[in-house]
Amino acid sequence: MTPFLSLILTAFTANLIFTKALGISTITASAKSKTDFVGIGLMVTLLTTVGCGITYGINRLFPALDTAYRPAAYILVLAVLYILLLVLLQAVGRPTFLRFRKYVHLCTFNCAVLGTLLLSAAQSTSLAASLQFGAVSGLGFVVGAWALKAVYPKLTCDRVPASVRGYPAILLYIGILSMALYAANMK
Amino acid sequence: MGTKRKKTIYDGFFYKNPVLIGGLISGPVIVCADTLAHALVLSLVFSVLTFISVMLSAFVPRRLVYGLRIIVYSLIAALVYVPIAKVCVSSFPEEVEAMGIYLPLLTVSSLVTTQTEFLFNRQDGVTLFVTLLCYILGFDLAALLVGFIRELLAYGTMFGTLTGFRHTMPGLATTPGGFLVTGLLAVCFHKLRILFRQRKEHAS
Repeated sequence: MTPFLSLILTAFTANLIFTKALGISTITASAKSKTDFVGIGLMVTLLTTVGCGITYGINRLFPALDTAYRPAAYILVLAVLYILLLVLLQAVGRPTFLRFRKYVHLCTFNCAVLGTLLLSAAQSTSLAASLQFGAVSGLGFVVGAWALKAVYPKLTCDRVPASVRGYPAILLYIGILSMALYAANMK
Repeated sequence: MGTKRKKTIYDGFFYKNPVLIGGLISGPVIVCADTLAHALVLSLVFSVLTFISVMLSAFVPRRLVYGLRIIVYSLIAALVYVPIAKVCVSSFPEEVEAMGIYLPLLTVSSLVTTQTEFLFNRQDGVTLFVTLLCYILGFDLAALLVGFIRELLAYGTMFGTLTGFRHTMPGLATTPGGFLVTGLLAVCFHKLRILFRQRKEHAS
């Protein structure tokens, strides 16, 4: 199996959305947006990859850091990345900045990104492993968001009964996909 | 076409339940609320953390740029989380270990960040207090319902005590089971919401 295929399979089977229910509100927001899905996915991937690298450094510098203080430390990291992301968007161009700035806080301060940092801190043993974990998690987020975006118009159309339409249908859809991946992981 | 329903400060409990209607904080409920005990600890931590964080966030000056305000809200929640985590680890060690990363994730929940900015900090006094309380109770209701249903159907127990329910489905205790139970509960809530609205329209 080629490394690329292995990476894609890992993005599916170890997907944080389907296996750990992280970032559901974020992928719902990205699925609603018709044109900004790719940008949101890229922002999340960048945040998870760079964030995992930085938090690995923090864990090496402060190995005795109490787990109760980790959210505060990691949120400070996310705060710095949030500002840098805004600066990066400004550097890309004003139209891009105006288009994506409403998504930046949603992409930065959410369970998917902070959850990735916390999981990486618990299991990564090297900088390369942390960066890889962050990148694969971001890729998994993009895969999950794409899987939802593909069916979002059908889940919210008028043919779906009103009590099921929208968010309940999204949860049930993700649940069925999660079941399939759960079975695949068990094998 | 029916008339639009007037918003009230009690919406957070039912009409805009943050988990089952708004879809705001579903991850911790789906993964952690697999038993009633876990749901209780999750509700307790969420309630104390969110209440204190949002009330403190009301003092953040509006002069600050929007982006910085969001950062400050999350930092306030993360700092409030520290004493709560220490108390929980000593009082509920097994439950806290079982929930893993999901308790710290409550510091970046939508209620603490975006809802504080766009809803809570545009109110003051008693209105803010009641609105916040209703959203918190709405989350607690959702978590406890999900925990109750999953523990009963997955294990046949209630707080670890056998109830005599025999037709258990252990898969409901897993993450996919959490998605399905929460999704079906969301369907029920949506249906009730539609029925209440229709009744009110007929009455008026």
